[in-house]
Amino acid sequence: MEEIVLKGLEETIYHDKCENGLEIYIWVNKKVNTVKGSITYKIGSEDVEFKTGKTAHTVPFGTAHFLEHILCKNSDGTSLLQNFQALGYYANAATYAYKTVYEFLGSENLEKAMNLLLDATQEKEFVEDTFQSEKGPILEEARRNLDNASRDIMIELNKMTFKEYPNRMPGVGTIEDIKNISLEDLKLLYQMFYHPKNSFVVVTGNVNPREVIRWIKENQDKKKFPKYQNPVLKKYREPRKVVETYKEIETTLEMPKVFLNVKIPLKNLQEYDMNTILDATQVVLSSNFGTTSIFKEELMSKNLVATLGAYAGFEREYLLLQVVAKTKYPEEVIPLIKQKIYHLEILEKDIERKKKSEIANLVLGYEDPESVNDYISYSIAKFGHIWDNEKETVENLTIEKITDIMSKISMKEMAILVAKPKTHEKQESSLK
Amino acid sequence: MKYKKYDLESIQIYTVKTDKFKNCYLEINFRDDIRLVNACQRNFLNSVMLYNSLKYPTKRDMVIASEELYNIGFSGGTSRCGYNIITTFTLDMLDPKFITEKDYLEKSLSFFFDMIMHPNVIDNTWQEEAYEVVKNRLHINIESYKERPEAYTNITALRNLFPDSYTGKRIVGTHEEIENVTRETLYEEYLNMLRNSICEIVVVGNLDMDALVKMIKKYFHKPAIVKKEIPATIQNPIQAYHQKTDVSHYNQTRLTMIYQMDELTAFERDFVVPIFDRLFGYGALTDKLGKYLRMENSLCYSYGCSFSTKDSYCIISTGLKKENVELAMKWIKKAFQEMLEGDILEEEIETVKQKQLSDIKLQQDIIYMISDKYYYHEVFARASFEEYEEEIPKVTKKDLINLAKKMHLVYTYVLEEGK
Repeated sequence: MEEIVLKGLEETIYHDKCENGLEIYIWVNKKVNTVKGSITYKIGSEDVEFKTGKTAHTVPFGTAHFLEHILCKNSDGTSLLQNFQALGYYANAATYAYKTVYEFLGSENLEKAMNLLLDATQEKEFVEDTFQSEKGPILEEARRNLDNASRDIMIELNKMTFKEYPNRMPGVGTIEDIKNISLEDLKLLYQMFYHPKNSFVVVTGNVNPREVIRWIKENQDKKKFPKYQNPVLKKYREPRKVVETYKEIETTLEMPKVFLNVKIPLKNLQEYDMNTILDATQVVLSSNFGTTSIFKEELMSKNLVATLGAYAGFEREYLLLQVVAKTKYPEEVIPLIKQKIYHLEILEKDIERKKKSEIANLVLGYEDPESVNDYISYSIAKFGHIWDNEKETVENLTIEKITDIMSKISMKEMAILVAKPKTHEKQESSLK
Repeated sequence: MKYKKYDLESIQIYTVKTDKFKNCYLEINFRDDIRLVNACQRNFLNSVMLYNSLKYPTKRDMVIASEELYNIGFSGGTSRCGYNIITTFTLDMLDPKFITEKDYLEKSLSFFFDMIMHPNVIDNTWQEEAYEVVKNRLHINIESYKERPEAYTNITALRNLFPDSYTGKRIVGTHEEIENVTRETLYEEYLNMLRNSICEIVVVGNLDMDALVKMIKKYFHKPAIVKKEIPATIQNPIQAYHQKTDVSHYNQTRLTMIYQMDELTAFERDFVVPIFDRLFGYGALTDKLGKYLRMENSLCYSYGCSFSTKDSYCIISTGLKKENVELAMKWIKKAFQEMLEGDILEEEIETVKQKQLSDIKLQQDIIYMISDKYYYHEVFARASFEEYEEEIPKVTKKDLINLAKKMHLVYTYVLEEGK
């Protein structure tokens, strides 16, 4: 068992690996009752094209999500969640762009819950009736999402920002995609990606790590898996340019919102690690667009915006900066935001204050078993490792480092989306 | 966890000492009778007090000061429990043991109570910028629930069913009510709150509570002792069944059904309702609604049943195709009929009770839940964690049937998908 010590946070994550390749990560908090267990498969809603050897495979968008639904059903059509409930556990599953996670939350019967999670996801029996009966709920989920403005906007923004990346489709698939998904598609994805070598278990909370590792290894030793076919996900060659620079859409909003995306190739920032890039850009964005910025204060006091915020994140080989404003006056606000993004400022005293905030967030980050479990799953699935020096990275941020990073960032590739309320007729009413 | 109460006459302080958390949480509640208060104005006041203060005259200044204190969180909200309107201000900070800086706790308390004791008021008038910004934000908030079809449908259904009751009203108020709040009336409301509301403070964390209470006394003064008995439940008259259909611009049809409840006993309210809910329609796919609406008939993706014991109703909500509404109503009624007839396996009841007990344990790992449970226990005589653990196992099938008998389907609201 390996110990990953998180420097400066007095926290340890225990790591081990089963013979079949399944990795295990454990974080202990003896002061709580809660235990959260999860198994993450490194296959997500965007992974629709892949190769095994020279054979290319394609499945419809929404297949990973459909598979997640089917894995949450027993072969007799009942819900797997009731098996967890019988053990006193709450269970759930979620499909992300890059991973699918099955999880449980409770406090007792951990060994049984762990075995149930492993068996349910590793020994699936596919039944046609169960597959057919789940289509209705998934179609309703997709229809519900059509009324979710945030999803609408995110997809439109991705379409404007990225030409090749498969993030331009809803994770659940379109209505048409869902109708086209076959049981064979689900089986294919399951056979290729639901393998111990492509998955890992995270257990957090009031547990004994040695005991948990023993249970998992005993469970795995009893099972035989087919040879891992090592599927290779499609690599996308994404051009530097955004697809569209300006667009207006109508959606289920009550007040217009402006979104401004800046697409920045990470190639230009190779000398810095991902955390440093993220911390530096977050500090700059927060100082220029957050509540402590004079810019936001001015726009708020003139009633030009109702809300204003900015975020940094990664999208494969790109860093994405996003500014979001809720405003009645998009035409006036857009030039002001653009001008600001071209002239970002940062002061040393702001950096020191933001560092304090970030350190507090890091300390508090390791307390709740639920959020620690989510964070480990995110780190491993997205970056392939756990950051053990996050506090150090924050402490080492300097104005020189931030200025250097910002100097290597070009704000040239920008996509602006204005989302406006739908123009709709007044609701009809009829008393029965 | 060590519970301790401090009676400071004009302020009641409830503390929970525990080393479970890396943060400490404090909330101050000003509680009043909603029938005697302008709820919209009280909510406005809550927001504007969180915006800035005399010492920190802009929101920016406030947030800079909070970041200097390792990002302490200050927040709040106005809620209702029966006829009680509760205006809350919260402080969330790191356990001082993680901070090397001297007097971190005292500085944090000083920051927080300064915001309450010294608002941005000059010559009995609230500062204009804060007033205008908050007013605009509240106008927007009034409409923003329409962006969430489920919230929109449920709020509309309750407003339709209870047009003259606080149950059907939103605390945020109407555009007209917001416009009627002036910078002068806001200050009057502030004085009214400080003088005439009951004041209760809850603190959870690994702190020396005696020392903390001394510090609170140093930074916070509540001028008057207030004692009021305010009912914690609204019992609206049971209505005759009726139904309404509207057409929306949404893509999915929403179905909402409301059951009103007769007066519940404390045992039913605290212990029977959660078990009934889990068996009937909690939303975790393991209940009767999950079985009939989703698992067996594929009518919907999400559904939910939510009890408001404070307003004596239960609301069921789901999203589906327009042509499936009648069918879904039939299955919801069948599920309820089964509850009424006690068509539930003893084994299911036991499983659900165990799950509820497990959840009670997990709630004790959440600092805000500890605060909330202790507050409601002390102020509204709701069950404590210990009482839940003791009483939940006593719930029987007969109790569940008796609860079902007290429930009456009074309203169905359908918001059809647009053409």
